Amino acid sequence: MIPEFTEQAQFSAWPFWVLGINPEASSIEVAAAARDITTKLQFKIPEVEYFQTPVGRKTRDEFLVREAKSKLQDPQARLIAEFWYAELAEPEQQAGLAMNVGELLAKLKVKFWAD
Amino acid sequence: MGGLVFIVVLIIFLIRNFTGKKGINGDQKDNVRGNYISIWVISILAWLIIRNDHPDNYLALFGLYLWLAIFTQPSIISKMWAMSAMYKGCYYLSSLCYFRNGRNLFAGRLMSSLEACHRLKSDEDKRQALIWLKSRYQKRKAKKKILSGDMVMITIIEAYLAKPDDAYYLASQLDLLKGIATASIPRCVSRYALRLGLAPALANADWDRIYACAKQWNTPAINPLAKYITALYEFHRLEKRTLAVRLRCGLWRMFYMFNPYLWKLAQQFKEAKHLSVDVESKAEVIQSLWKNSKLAELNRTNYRGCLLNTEAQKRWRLRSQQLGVWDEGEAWQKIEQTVLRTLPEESASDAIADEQAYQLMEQKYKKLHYLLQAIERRLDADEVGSGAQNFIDWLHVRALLLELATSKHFTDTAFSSNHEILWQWVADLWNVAKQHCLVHFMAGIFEPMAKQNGYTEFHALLHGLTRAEYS
Repeated sequence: MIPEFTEQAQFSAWPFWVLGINPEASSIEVAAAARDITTKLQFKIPEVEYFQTPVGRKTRDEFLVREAKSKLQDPQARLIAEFWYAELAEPEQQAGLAMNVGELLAKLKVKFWAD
Repeated sequence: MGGLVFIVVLIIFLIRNFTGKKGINGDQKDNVRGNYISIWVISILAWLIIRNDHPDNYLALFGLYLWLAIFTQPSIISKMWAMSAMYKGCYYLSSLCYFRNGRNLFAGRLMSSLEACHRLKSDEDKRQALIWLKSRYQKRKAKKKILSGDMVMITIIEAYLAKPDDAYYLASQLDLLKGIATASIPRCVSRYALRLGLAPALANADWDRIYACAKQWNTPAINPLAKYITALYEFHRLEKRTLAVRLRCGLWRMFYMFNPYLWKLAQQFKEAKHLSVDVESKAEVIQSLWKNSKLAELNRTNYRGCLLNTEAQKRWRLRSQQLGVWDEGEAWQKIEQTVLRTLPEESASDAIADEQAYQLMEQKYKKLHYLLQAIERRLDADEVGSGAQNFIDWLHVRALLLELATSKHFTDTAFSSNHEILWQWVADLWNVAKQHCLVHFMAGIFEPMAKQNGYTEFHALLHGLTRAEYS
């Protein structure tokens, strides 16, 4: 459970991000994606514990994957998740957005912690 | 003769340091501009006299140059120390730099030390340095008064410790300081805070927020960037095309002739579209909400319209049928509730969209209540605490009050059920701890709430505090 996603409706599409699928995925594809990620997590395949979100990379575990799957299997919850779904920017573009503030801080000639 | 002038000037400034006027808001007031002009005039006079009287006395000239540097530009010396990344040394040595600005000494020390911290290479070293800086204000004696410059620095350090890489979080924390007295904020602190607050707003091209930020940090200690942005906003957005505003734009722009980005900011202001831009698609709305920008907040009506239009309703009702939802009307209602929770209607702030939102608000309300109870227990034990401790508690209280502000019901309940604790807190801070600057800041926030909820006595007290009727 990621509190900031469950508390804010605009992040209701989080089950899709956890499973790395989009609203076009059928119930079978949802189950397959969940099974695939769970297996990879059990075998500790590198990088599989991370998934992309609008607010950067987050970590997932088997519990979160199970929860995402059950959300998408509930028609009402899935409807809300689909409603709030929007394409994520590519990681490079996301980095660009993050750079944007960083670049601006540099242009404003101010030292920020992350510098 | 030169030496005599030097001693006289030194005595004058030392006397001025200890007899500074107290501002009406509990902050220390100072005629910054007058001070700077007089320092320059007297320094040049002293230099001319020494040159004429003792042209070969290099020691006197060297002393004079050093004195000139420290008195006129203390930040130069502090920056020289900061470059070495010796944050502890910087903290103690900056007392020498800023002793003329004695009112802001602590904020100046924290600022120089933070500048030195930025030079550290590893994140862990930086974190340790911040923890050490935090210990400085935590261990500060309770009788030491906290001034607005100190408050700004504490907010920045606390934000860096909480979320080191999050410029948005830092800007939101600085937003909490709206309403703070500005008289004693040192120039370097004001300039630093403005830039930190400005970067996320510029990234979102949120011009109203940029202006609000500039106004917040347009302090008596001259902040050219704040003045430049204020003038640009008035000229381009408010369309005050008067000669005075035009001249101000030109004047403050000259400060940034070597900074291409700020030099071109005028062009950006000119070309910027108005905030009420037409939303092109649902995806754009959602992506804007992810960024949690002020733009989304200002465009709530537009965004709601885009998400909840008739076409969308038809589409999602159909989709609910495809998914096998039992009641498609109820399904659409639930979607509406999530939208209204994210983008509440301005006039219907009383209504809480759904049960989940209500529970969230209740959690925040309880959090505020427990925090105030902890403060009450501390006050009952006759431990008002240090200025920094009270200020950090106040920041938490203010953040929670702002979060509750979306619901009038919860705001009023929170204030009504806790107003006695707040009253006791304000009274103890004023009478026992003598933290007048902090109390003025708090009173400015509580005054409208007390008036709205009909607490006439409390309101009269707060009104008196904000109008400097008490001393």
